[in-house]
Amino acid sequence: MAMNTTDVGPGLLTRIRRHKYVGLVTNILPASIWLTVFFLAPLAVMLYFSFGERGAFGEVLLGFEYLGLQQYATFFIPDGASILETIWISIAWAIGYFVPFVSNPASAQPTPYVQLLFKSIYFGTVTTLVSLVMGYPMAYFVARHASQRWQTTLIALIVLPYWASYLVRVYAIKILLAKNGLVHNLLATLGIATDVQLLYTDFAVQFGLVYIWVPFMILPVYASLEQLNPELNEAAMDLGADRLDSFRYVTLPLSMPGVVAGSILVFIPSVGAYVIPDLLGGASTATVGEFIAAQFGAAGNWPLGSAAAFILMVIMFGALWAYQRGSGGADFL
Amino acid sequence: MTEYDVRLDGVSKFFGDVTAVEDVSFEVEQGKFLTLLGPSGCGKTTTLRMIAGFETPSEGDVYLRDQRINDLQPFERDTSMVFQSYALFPHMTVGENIAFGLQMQGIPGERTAADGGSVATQSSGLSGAFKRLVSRHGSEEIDTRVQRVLELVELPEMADRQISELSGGQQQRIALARALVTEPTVLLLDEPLGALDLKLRKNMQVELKNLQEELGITFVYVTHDQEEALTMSDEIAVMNEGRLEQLGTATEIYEEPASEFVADFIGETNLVHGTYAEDDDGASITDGSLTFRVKPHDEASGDIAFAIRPEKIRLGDDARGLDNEFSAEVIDEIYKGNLGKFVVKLENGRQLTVDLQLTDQGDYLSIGRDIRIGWDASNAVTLVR
Repeated sequence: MAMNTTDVGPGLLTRIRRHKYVGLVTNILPASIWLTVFFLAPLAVMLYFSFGERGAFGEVLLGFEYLGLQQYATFFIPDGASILETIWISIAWAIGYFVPFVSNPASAQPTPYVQLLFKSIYFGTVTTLVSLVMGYPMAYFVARHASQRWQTTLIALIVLPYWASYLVRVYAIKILLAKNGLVHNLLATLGIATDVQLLYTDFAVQFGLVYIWVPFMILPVYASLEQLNPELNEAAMDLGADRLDSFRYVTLPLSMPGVVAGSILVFIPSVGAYVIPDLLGGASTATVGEFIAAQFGAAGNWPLGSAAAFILMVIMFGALWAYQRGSGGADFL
Repeated sequence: MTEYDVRLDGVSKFFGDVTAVEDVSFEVEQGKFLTLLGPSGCGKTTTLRMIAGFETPSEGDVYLRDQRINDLQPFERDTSMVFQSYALFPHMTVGENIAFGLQMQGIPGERTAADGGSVATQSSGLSGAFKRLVSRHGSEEIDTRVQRVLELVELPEMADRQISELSGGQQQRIALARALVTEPTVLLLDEPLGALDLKLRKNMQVELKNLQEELGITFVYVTHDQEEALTMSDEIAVMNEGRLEQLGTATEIYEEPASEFVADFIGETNLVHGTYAEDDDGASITDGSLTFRVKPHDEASGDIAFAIRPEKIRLGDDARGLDNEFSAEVIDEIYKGNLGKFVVKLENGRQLTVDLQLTDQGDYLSIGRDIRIGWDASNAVTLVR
C-alpha cells in the first residue's frame, strides 16, 4: 500500500471528541440534555404535583397554601386511622389476601388504593414466578440441547411475537379467551368445562402478563446458560455428581445472573401493567397501573395520580434493591 | 501376571458418517504413564473421553481394571479428568473446587458449606434458601484431604482464593489437585499444559512426571506435542486419522517407527521412496539412479520407503566405508547455535537433511560445496506402510 503523505492524523471532529475536557462535554452532553429535558424534568414536575391538590374543576392547585402530603395520606391512610393502625390494617389485609386459608385478622380494610397496590405486586410476583418456571426449562433446552442452527431458529421464534404490536397481541388473547372463543369452545367440546368465564378474570390478566413478558425471562437466562462452558458439567460428573447434582451445584448457581436479570425485566413491567389488566381484566381486577392512568384521564386527579406513581416507583426501587442484595452480588443497579 | 488399569479392545467411535476412532486396542499397566500422541483430529481426545465416559464406544469394549465400563456414566467411573480448559467452577473458591469431588463421593460430614458453613446456614430469606439449596456438606476429613492435595501441588495457602485470582499456571495446578483428591484409579489429562507458556510448560512436564511416579497412579495423557510425549511417557500411542499407528516406548517410537507417518511425525526425518529388492547381502531400495542399502523387512516388497534421521548421517571422512556412501552438494544451511542443519542434494536430485554438531568444521560446509555423506544400513528404518 502506498504511503499516504498527506496524512495529518485524526480529523477535527475526532480530535474534539478525544480531547480531555471538550471531549467529555461533546460525548456526554447530548444524552444528558435529552435525559434532563424528557425524563428528569417531567419527573420533577410530577413530584411537585404530588404535593398539590385537586381543584373543584380538576385543575392542579400548586400555591404554597395547598402544598402538603395530603395525597400520600389519602393513598395510604383509611378514614380516622392512625399511622400504626394503617400499617397493621395493611399487613393484615395482605395476609388475608395472599396466604391461603387465612382470613384477614383485622376488622378494618385498608384504602382501596393500597389494595390495588398489593394486587399489582401480587400479579407481578406470580407473573415472575410463572415466567421463571416456564422460561428456565425452555432457555435450558435451547441453550443446551438444540443444535447451533436450531438455537438461532428457536430464539427467533421466541422473539417473533414482538414483530407484532403489543396491543394486537393483547387483543388476540382477548379473542382467544372470549365467550365462544377458541379456548372456551375447546374446553366445552372436550367436556372439561362448559360455560366457564375466562375473560375479565384474574386468570385472564395473569395469562396475558405471562404471555407478553415470558420472553424477557427466557432471553437473559438463555444468554447466561449459553455462555457456560459445557466442560464444567462434564467436570462435575467426572467428579461424581449425577446429572441432577451437576445442575444443582454448577448450572443453577452460574445461571443466577440470568435469572435475576430476567426476574427484574418481568417484574417491573408486570407490576405497573396498564393495558393488559385494562383489556383482559374485569372491574374486580383493577391494578395500580390502571388507577394511575385513570387519575390522569377520566378521574382528573393529577396530584393523586402523581403521588401513586411515585409510591409505586419507590416500592419498585425498594424491591429491586432487596432482590439485588438477596441474590448476592449480581450488580444490576 | 501384569495388572492392567485400562484396556481398550477394538474400540471405534462414529459420529454420523465420520469415523473419529477406528479399531483401537491398547493396555495401560498399573502405575504407567501412557501418552496418546497425534495431530489434531486424530481421535486421541475422543479416545480419552471414551475412557472418562463422556462418549460411548460405537464398537468394542473399554475396561477399567477387570470391569467392562462401556455402559457406566462418568460419575460411576473411578477416573478423573484434567481438562484442557481446566473447567474449574468459577463460582467456588479453590478449596470448594477441590472439595467438590469428595462431597459428591459422599465423604461423611455435617450439612454445611465447604468453607465452614456458617455463612450459608445463617443467612435468611430468598438468598439463604438458595444458598442452602446449592451448599454442600463439609467435614474435617474433607478439609484435611483438600489441604493435603494443595500441599502436593505446592499451593498450600490457596484454599480461600477465588479462581479468577489465580494465574494460568496456578489454575492448572488446582485442576490437577481437584482431579487427584478423589484418588482415582486412572488420571486422564487432555492437553493440560496446552495453555501455558513454553518455560512453565517445560517445568510442569517434569513436575507432572515426578508427581506421577511419586503417587503411582496410572496416567493417560493426550498431547499433540511430540517433545512433551517423549519427555514424560513410559509408553506412547501414536494415533493418526482415528487409528493407532504404533504403541511403544519413547525410544522404540523414535528409533523404530512402524510407519511413514510415525517416522515423519516424531522428530525430524528423511523419507526416501523407491523400489525394494532383496539380494545376498541383505536388501536395497532403488530411487532413480541411486541404490540405498537398507535392513531387510519380512513384509517389504515393491514401492516402499526408508527413513534416515538427520543426526545419523555422517559427513566427509566419517562417511567412508559405510554401507551407503554418496557424493552430494550442499544447497542450504540453517544455523541453530549448537547445531548446523544442512540440506544436501544427491546425484539423483534427492534432497536430504543432515545434522552436524558445530565444533570447528564449519567452513567446509559452505553452500555449493561437494562433500561425501554416508550411513550404515542399520541406522535406516525400512517402512512397509
